[in-house]
Amino acid sequence: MGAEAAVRFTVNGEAREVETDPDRTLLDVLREDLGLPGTKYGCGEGQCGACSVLVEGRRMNACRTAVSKVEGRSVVTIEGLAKGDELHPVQRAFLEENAYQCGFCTAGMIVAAVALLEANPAPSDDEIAAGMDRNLCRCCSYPKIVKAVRRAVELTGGGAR
Amino acid sequence: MASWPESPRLIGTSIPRLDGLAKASGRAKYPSDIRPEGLLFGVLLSSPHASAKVKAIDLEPAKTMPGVKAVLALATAGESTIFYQGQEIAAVAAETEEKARDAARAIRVEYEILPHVATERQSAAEGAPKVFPTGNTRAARAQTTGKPDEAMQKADAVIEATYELPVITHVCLEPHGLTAHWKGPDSITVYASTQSVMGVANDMVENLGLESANVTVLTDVMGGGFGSKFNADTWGIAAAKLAKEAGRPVRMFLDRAQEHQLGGNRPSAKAKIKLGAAKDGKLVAMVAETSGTGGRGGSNFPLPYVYKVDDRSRAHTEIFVNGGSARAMRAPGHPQGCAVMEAAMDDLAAKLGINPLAFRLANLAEADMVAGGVNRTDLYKEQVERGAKLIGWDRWKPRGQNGDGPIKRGLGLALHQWGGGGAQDKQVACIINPDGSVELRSATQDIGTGARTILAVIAAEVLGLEVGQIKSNIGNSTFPPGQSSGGSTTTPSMAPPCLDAVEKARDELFKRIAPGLDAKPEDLSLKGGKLLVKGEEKATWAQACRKLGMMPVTATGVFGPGLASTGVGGCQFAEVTVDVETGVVRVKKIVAVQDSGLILDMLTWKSQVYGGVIGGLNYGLFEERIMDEGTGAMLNPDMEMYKLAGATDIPEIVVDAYDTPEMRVRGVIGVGEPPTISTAAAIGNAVANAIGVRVPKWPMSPMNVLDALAAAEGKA
Repeated sequence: MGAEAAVRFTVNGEAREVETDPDRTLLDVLREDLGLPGTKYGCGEGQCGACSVLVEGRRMNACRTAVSKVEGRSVVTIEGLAKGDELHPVQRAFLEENAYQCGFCTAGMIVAAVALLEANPAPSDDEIAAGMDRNLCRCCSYPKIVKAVRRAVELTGGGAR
Repeated sequence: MASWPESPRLIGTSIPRLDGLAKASGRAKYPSDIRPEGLLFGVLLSSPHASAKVKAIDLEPAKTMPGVKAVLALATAGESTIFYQGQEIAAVAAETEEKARDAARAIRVEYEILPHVATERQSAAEGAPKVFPTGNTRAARAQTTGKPDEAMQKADAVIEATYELPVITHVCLEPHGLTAHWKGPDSITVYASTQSVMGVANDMVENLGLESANVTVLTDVMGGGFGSKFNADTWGIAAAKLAKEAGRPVRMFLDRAQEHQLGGNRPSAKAKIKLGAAKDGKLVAMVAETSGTGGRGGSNFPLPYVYKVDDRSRAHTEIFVNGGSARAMRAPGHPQGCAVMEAAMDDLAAKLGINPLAFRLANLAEADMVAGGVNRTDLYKEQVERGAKLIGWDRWKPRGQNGDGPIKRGLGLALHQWGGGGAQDKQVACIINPDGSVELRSATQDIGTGARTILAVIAAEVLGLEVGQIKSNIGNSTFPPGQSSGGSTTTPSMAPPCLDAVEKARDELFKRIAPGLDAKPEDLSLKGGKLLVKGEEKATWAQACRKLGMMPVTATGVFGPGLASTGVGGCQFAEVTVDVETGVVRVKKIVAVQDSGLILDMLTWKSQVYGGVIGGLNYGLFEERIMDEGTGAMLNPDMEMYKLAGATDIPEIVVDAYDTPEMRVRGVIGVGEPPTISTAAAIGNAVANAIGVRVPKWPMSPMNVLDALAAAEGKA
């Protein structure tokens, strides 16, 4: 473990400062230091996508991101997508389509879908599948997940956010 | 006596999950998210060696490291034998996960490394090191019915082939583990990622010497189990002990590599099958020698499977290897038995020149009676007809006629069966409060299938309320005894006592409030959130409940006859393309036809079938535990080289609920397992149909496909 240092970044719109080993993973800092356990540990290797968060609007695997890498940047987690009680359209779409069973992959799926729609507000079915391909669901709810992303496109009228 | 409503308002429709909002918003708290004040992080130190003696363990270096609060040896120096890579050695609890990991690494363990056998091949080799003093295999006596050798002589066509499926692992997305929080010197609350809160509670009682009344196991939601999470496990008990020693709560979850190595696996299967039929397409005999490894555990599977062969013999040999022990995995044994049987059926049909669909129908037992006087053969016939229509079986062509270019297209099918009946000793409590709130309680849990929602659907149906008005409190071991989530038994075990409890509570409510309404209890009914007296609206639900004063209604429901049943069929069809130059298989379409008695919630039911089919697609195309014979280590204990389907691998999937009036009167039957059984078999048969060559090893990976093609050309 290295020496502790202050790392400053924005989480869900709020400025945060964490005194920590800068090599710790963003996932660990979010879950354990900042009280945001919605982002999950699945594989620890950036292969399953359960730890997906948005960094400056782009999807990153928090389990493979040192917290020092987000210094001065903006991080959004599943907890930060809703505006108060109003869910993000992608969350509403997952809810409408019941696109989960156990739900452990869901936070990562939703964040990945938000990033996908940010980059491509009106994706084709193939583009949705390709965009979601790096997130694994062991309950295998993929048909409903893809449907939910399609529904999110409808809800946003092709313009996410 | 309770019975399911004849024309239900909610039951059988598509009801969204009660836990949907919590899951979509990220607010659902999984056991690995629980963070009581003062939480310490537990880390399990596991053996890097597959076979060894533990000569010495020195915990001292870990104990003195910064932030370390408790250290515990799980192996005993001079005594413990290591049987597989990943076996538990010690556990550490520290202020942060990193500090715990550093401390675990600092523990000094001296091993005497012993020779190992990591694969079935190594285990069976002459002079191989022994896993058990008694040897590496345990052969069961052949089970023989009729006179198979004699009957085989009369066969017009015989195939003799060997089919194999590898060991695969559960890969629950939330790893195994729990958070242990002592509430006093002899009282503990455990947040466990489990499919059995009662199983974990029992393990805590037995291993910690606690009174049952002082153990609470909570599982609000959990991230998948698939048969591997019924117990507290060594690491869970270790977490409780570390928490006691440190005087602070401890969270202990496996990491992904440990998850593969010691969190359980599905045994391998190998079957050398000789199957003969007469030219009219009737099976005459089967002789099978089978084997498999479950590490140090069993690997048996059903064979013959689905089809009737009067004259048969089958001998199974257990092979032991230095690998983690097998655990139940979604329909234990059935996907293996189904794959090898269906492959043999298909190969024999090809040899006879008979359409494989007709060949299958010709070899079902005349009467395959399951509970409730249902002849499963009749079900199969109708299901196969429906499936054939949905996949377009009229496009089927014999092997070798499926494309001139490098991309071949093929169709395959497979049949399966399962029990899916429930236990009859479980209970549900129903509480109707004076404020109108309704609570259900039982010590079952939601493994992800929607158990919570299904109980609420039943209560809402009976009380004329909306599903969201019911508080479905499960995942608490102190509630009335509930079913473990396994064997497709949860719903058939829990739905009957739930119906009974809610009906009893309703009747008690009527009895208590009828006098105040100048009515007889039998004049009262509930509909659309209203209380009716002789069919006339008299009060809202809330007003009716207010008449209870301060005393809630409580009732406990038990099992009742006729509400649940057992014994399902089902069939699946697959369409694939295979690139014979690269060996890449793409699944284009899967049709799944499934019965399961009375379906309570079509939405969660379909989710189960989709999940089962895609799980089966994973077994069919991707999954394989790869062991290194040199080191005894698992080579792919991750989610990169242990391949699983992603969104781009998913074909068109048609789920056809065999939901007929005859099925509904059977009552509730579970559906978690049946739809995952025959997918890999159907895919294997579609591949053989496409390329004209049997790929005898699952998964249908490029390597296995190319090997089979090369073997057919005499190159391998």
